[in-house]
Amino acid sequence: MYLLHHNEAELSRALLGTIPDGVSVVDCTKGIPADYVGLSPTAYPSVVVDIPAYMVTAQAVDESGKQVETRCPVPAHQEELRFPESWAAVAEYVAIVTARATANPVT
Amino acid sequence: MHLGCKSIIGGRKFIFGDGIYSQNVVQGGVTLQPDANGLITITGAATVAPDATTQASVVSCDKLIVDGASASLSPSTSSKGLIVFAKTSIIIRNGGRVHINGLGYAGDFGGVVIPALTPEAIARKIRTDALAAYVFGLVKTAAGTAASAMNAGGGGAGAGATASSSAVRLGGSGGRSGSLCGGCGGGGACAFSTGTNWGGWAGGAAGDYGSSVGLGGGNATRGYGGNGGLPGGFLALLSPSIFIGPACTVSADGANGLPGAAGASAVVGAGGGGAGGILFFLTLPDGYSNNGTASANGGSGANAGGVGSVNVFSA
Repeated sequence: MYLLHHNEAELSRALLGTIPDGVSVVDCTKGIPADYVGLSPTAYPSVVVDIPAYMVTAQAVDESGKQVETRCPVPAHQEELRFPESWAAVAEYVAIVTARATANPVT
Repeated sequence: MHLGCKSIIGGRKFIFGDGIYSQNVVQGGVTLQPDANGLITITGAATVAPDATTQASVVSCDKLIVDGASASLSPSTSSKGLIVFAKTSIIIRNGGRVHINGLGYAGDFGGVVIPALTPEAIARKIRTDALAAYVFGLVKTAAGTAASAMNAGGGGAGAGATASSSAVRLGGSGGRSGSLCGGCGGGGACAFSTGTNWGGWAGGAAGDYGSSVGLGGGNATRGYGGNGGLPGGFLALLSPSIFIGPACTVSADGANGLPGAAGASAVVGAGGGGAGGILFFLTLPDGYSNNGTASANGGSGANAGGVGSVNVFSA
């Protein structure tokens, strides 16, 4: 997990000032660092979190127009959490996606 | 850098303008006027129409205050830029906003300098030589990608709704950034393999230059994709002193892509977010104070638009 920080954003300054232990910072105030290889930023501040793999039930429509349900895996990936109001909100989101992965293991 | 110099044709020129009001800030249908101290105070939703020649919304004044949570300054419509020359100061306080959110001017017209956007009546009083050093929009940022300095971001792609594995349900691609705006978001799609159900590509088939927002595809049976978001534009504030108070914003954000409307099958696609534009501040050394937010964020959507750039310089 890391914070995409831009010092011109009030919320970004607030998150930086209360950053928890273990969370790193990518400071984009002077531009995206040349050695940065993560998700391309869409907004500041954002927190990039790891999303564990899980199974999902998807609504689908077959060729005949009939609505069906299907189960498919969503691989582990990262998401950019835009404008989190606080680190507590980030932790809450991480808890939700962790619980989702536990309840819906990839088979 | 010298702030003023003798013009060849007579009269002094200034990098922040000469302070003479341009008579074009409209609030509630009334053109605002400065008080006895040269101060223009915006307390409501104020707009500046684009110039007929340059297509940019350009203000020249002495002192400008945008005061209060209901106060905002923006172009009246899609514009090549919102540019404010203030000879003495620009103050944004008590939750005020200055923005060009979702109001970018589409097109590929290469690197642009502020003098080229400035109407002649104002341009003849500014230091065009000094301002020509700042060039914007040289790079056409790829769709969904963050911008480098002095450039705008690329638009986010739309997404198709989940349908059967045999269906083609492509969301439209996001647009590359324009010269002075982020790229538009692509339209979402929902449905099957006929082309009419595809989400539109932002900017036409090439997906370029933010020239048009992508429209969602779909049909009443399957559901519709949402339209993409419009891009943030180019916003420049030039003044010896610029103050942005807490909870205040100066922004060139892209608009959000829209969700689609459900058809009989309640399946929808979503549009991509418009990309962030370009912010530019030029002040004297130590003349810039930001206790609020200056942003060029991409809009949200099926895929968010790329972030634009915030550029702060001192003369």
